[in-house]
Amino acid sequence: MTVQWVVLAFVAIMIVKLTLDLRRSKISESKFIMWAVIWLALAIIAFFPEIVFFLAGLIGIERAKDLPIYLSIILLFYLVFKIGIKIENINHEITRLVKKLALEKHKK
Amino acid sequence: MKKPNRTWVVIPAYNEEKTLGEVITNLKKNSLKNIIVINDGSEDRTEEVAVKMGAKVYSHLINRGLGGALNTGISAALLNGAEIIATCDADGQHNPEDVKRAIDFLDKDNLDVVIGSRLLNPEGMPFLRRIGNKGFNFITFLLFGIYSTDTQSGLRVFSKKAAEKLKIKTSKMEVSSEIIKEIGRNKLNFKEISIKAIYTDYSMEKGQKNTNAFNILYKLFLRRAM
Repeated sequence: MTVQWVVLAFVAIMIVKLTLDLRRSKISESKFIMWAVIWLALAIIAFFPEIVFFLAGLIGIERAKDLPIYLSIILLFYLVFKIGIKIENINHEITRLVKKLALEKHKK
Repeated sequence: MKKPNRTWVVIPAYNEEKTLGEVITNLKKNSLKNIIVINDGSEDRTEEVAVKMGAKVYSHLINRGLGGALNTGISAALLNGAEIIATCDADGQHNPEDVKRAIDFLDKDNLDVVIGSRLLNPEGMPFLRRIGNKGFNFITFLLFGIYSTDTQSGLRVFSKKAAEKLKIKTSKMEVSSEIIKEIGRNKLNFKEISIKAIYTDYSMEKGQKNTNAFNILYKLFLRRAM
């Protein structure tokens, strides 16, 4: 049963960190909510693993242990996609800056 | 050509010291005197060559790719009072007479955009390139609903109106498809003109590779999703 307490401690630390990040406006509110839900769900599952069996049965996954793995993969895909968009935006900003500098030179 | 002083040719160049000089000379021989070179963070003597040949040079501090260079070039031309803006490649694959013909075509028919298509008359284009181009065009059509026989052509002519409306966001090669998208979005009046590309080993090495299609596809999807 010690594993559950380890998970709980870990989740508590993550939530404190999240709250601090939010206070320092390092993350947006929507990100805070998203991560808070994910960590809390992890803590709940640690104490009530039956939930996983129930959910797995509900969507037709035979081995309940597979469910978190499926979910993690979906989450990772989503994050990679978001990062891709962010990098594209940064690229666009750099290009705008470089353009501005190139045009400035001839303004005089 | 009705407005020789108001016509500007934009040449995006990245490490093109070998061919750029000749390209500028040939354009000038065809009475295209106003030339802007965007030196896209080259590491060789591209800037030096361009200045020596009498082009107006705008230099990117770091390399940003074709889209970034075109964007800067078009803005620069507008700042110089251009009414017609042509773009052509620095690798010498475009015949300056074709550039001139495309400009006259836009002027005469009062068009917004003219694209010099290598595929209206595809003789001389290597087979693999032809297939690759077809693929690009189909992707562009699926995404933006406009079919051009040569979306990836570097020879384009824009009217002032078109140049002002054009919003280029992508920095790299996918800009070619983006321009097609912008033509559609702004409902610009566009036609293609047949040109014959001059394929040398040099330009083949520098041009678009077929495998790039996947990369471009991915970037365009990202753009759509934003």
